[in-house]
Amino acid sequence: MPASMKHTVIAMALSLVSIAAAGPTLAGDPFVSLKMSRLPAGSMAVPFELATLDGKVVKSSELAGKVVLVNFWATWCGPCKEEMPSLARLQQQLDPSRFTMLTVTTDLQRQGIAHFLSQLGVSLPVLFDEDQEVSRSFMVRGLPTTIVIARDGTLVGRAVGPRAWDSPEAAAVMRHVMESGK
Amino acid sequence: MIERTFSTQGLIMMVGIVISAVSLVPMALAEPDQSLRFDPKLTTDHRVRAVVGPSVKIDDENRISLAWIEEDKDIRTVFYSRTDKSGGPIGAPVTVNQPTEAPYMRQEAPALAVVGDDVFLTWALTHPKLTPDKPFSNELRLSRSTNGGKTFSPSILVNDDEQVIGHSFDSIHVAPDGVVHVAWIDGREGKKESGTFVTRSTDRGRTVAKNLKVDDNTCVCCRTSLTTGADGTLYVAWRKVLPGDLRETVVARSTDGGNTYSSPVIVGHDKWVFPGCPHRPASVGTDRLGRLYVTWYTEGVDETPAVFLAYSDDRGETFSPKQKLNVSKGTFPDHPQMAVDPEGRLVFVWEEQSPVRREIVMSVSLDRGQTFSAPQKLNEKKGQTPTLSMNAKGLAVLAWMEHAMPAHRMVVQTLQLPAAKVLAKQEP
Repeated sequence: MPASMKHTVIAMALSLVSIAAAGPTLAGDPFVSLKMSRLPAGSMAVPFELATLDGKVVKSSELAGKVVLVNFWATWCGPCKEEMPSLARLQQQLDPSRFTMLTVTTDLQRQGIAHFLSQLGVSLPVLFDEDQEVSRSFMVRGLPTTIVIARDGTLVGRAVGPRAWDSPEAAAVMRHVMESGK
Repeated sequence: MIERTFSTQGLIMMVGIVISAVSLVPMALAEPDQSLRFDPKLTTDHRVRAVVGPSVKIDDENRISLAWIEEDKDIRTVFYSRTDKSGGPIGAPVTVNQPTEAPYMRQEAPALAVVGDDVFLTWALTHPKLTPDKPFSNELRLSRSTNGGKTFSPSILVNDDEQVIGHSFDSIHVAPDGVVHVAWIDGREGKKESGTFVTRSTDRGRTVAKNLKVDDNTCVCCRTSLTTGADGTLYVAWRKVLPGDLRETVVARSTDGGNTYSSPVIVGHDKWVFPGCPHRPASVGTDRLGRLYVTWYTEGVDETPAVFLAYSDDRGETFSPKQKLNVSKGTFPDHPQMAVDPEGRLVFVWEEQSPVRREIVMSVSLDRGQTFSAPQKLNEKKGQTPTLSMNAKGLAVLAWMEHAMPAHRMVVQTLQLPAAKVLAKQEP
């Protein structure tokens, strides 16, 4: 196993240990309000490099310094599609120089996805994980799964299932991460 | 907002898994069972953009059928291949769809059934009336060959609604009386959750009957599974959404050849609460005494990924206690599939995953699901989408995909099972 990958896996393990140990029970914790599992500082996101709908390549390394929300979804997943407008509204609320939203799908319906986003009237970057490598490296077990990555590349939060991403609770989580870094 | 309870126990298990992956502790795999006779692996490399599949079947003449979908240069094609003997080589691929037909690409292989020289495949076609506001719509098509897959007739439409929606997560099965049964999921009634639908063909796939809804509140992304018992009882399995977002694998039966179906029966009572899409189907089969076997994935109340087997000796009215098949402490089990022969010999395949590992493992039961061999690793490179089939002589064929960049490698391997330890004979 390459050292970088081993570091990543160790970090994931540590993050899971911390989840199990802490649990989202702290009063006033914005993660609790959003029903998002809080991950401890120090767990590094798995590096990735994926193509977008328009053929460009997004490298996670190029996002350093920004808070990144990564939403895993599929075209056949109703709850995934239902939460997308709220993701777009969340994106609009936040400073793009400090926050980036990415959606990742293992689907292959490029043209359909373009139509879908157009019909929704939203602009969200869609990354294609055709070999499912990134989804599996993030341990995505069901859809939608959303992961929040801090400015320094550490994993800070994980939500499985749909959320109202345009809610004050979601915005509070993102602002908390943007300001505190964790 | 949908809430999801947090499970410390499940996460602790995940921690163990990840830590085990870090330390590269081998999975708890037994040495190969010497009583199992594996033939050499057959492989084909596909240097195309994407491959989905394969599906696999083996008949009593040991002929192996494969079906898959490829995408290359934005052209999608449904392929079929027949291998005349278990030692290979894999037969040349034959195009199933017509050049004018654009298969809908999703993460599912075509459903495949073979009886003699009759080959049946169901697959999704990008809906010809697709509109920009319904971009993920597709029709379910049935293709058939009457010459062993040398050529295929133009496909026919399976779903009889004209709605521009999705019709997929299909399965196909040919009953002993030759009737072709198809099951799938669609949301034609416009309800929040989709329904499970079936139809049948009594003329070897030339036409299909009026569609029949078996049940509501179907988990929209977990594929259906069909089989028939020795007495002709037809079974269909799927994952049902119950109040509170409970996801339970259920089975309904038809004792009149598919005219009507019973209410679904919960198999494992997993009480798995999941507000999204698991995307993991059940697998069903029967032996010659009519024992119905069901294998499925769940995370249960403690959100611990596991694959299970349960069986029913009363035609799906009740089920045995579920037995866990996965044993590894170092990986997550996923995507189980099962095949059973008339003697009650069972073969199971599934994935074992960690952030850095994707293994294909198999286990065997020679006593009608009472005991199981230790899971045994099959793949050489990262593997995924295992599937299998077994003929009446206990010859199983297993197939999966491996990452052999820049190619997608399809791997096929046959396995001869030893005699059953507990014969499936008529009991007093």
